[in-house]
Amino acid sequence: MRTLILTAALVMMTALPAWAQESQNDDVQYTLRIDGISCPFCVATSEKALKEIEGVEDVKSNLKEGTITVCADAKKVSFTDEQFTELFKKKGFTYRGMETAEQCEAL
Amino acid sequence: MKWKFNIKRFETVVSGSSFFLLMSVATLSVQAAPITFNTALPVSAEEWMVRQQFIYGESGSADQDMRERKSITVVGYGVTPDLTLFGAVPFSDKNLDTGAALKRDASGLGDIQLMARYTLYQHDFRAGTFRISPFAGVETPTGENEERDAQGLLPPSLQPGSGSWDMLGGIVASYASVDLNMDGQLYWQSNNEADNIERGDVFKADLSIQPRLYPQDISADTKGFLYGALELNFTHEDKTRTGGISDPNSGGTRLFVTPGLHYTAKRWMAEAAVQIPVTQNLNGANTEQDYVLFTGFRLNF
Repeated sequence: MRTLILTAALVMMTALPAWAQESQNDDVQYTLRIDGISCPFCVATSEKALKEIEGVEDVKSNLKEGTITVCADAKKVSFTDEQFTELFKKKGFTYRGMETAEQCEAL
Repeated sequence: MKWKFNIKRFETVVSGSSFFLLMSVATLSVQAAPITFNTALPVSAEEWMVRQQFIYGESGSADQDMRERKSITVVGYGVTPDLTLFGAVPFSDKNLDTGAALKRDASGLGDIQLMARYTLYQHDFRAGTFRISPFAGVETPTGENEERDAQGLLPPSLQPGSGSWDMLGGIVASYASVDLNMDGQLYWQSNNEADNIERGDVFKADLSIQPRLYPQDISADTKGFLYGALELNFTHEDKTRTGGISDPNSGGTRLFVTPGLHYTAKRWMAEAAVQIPVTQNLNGANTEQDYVLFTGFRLNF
C-alpha cells in the first residue's frame, strides 16, 4: 500500500508541471494596431466588444501607441485579420494589423 | 453691420436631401465633444449615447430682464459605423420681468429635434482621427406656442415652442488626438410660419478646441482625461415676422466665447462651461444675452 501511494505521488509530481506547461501554452497574445482611437472612451467600446468574445481572457489598451493587446485561449478562439477589420470598423476605427505571441504577458 | 444669408434657398436643398439623410446616419467615435452643440457627439455602431445638460441664462434690454432655465436631453444611437440618429428633448422655464411689476413666465416641453448624421470622410491615424459629417433634421412642433397669461398671448421669445415644423442641416468636422480635439460646425435652421408667426431663420458657426490638461503623460493605465474647452459661437437670426410684418425688435447677430472644462472616463463624462458675449449686433430693442451657464453629463452604453 505504501509503495502504491508513493508511486501515485511520483506520477502526479512528474505529470503536473507538464500539464501546467500545456495549459500556459493555450494562451495566445494578439497585439493589434488600431488607428483612430484617441481617448479612454474610444478604447472602452472596443475593449467591451473584445471581452464579449468567448475565449478572450484579458484586454488592455495603450492609447499612446494606438495598440490593443488581447490575451485569448487558443483552444476556444482564434482571430483573423478579416475578423478584426470588421470588429473595429463597427466601432468606428481602422484596424491596421497584428502581431501574435504564443504566451500572454501579464496585462 | 448687415448680414444676409440665403437660407430659404438652402431649405429647398435640405428638404430634398433630408429624407435620405434621415434614413442613414453617422457616428463619430471620437470622445471629447463640444459643450455648446450636439452634432459632434461620438456614438459607436449599435450603441446608445445620452447627454443631459442643464442650462441657465440671463438676458435683458433697457426695460426688461429675462431668465431661462433649460434642460436638454439628447439621445443618440449608432445605426451603422457611419450613421447616427439623434433626438433632443428640451424643457424650459422662462421668466420675463419688465420692471413695472409686470412679470410673465412660461414653462414646459419645447420643440423636439430629430437629426441624422452621416460620416462622409474619415481619416484615421495612430492615436487620432479626422472626420467630416453632414447632418440634417427637423424641429417638431411639440412645444406650446400659444401660451397666455392675464395680459394675453405671451411674446414668441417666451413661448416654449414655435408651433411649426422647421428644417435644419449643416456640416460638422472633427479632429481628435490624445492631446487635442477640435470640432467645427456650420448650422442652418429654416423656420416656418405657425399661427401667423414665423421666427427668423438661424445660421450658426461654431468652433471648439479641447486640449487635454490632465494627465500630462498618458500610460496604459490612464483611466480618464481632463480637458479644457474654448469655444467660439457665432449666431445670426433673421427677424421674426408676425402676420407677414417683420418685428423690428427681433433678430440680429451674436458672437460668444465659451470657456469650459470636461472630464471624460471610459463610459461617462461631465462638463461645465460659461458662455460670454463678445459682441451683439441686435435689431431694435431685442434683448442682449448677459451669459449662459452649461452643466451636464454624458453616458455611453
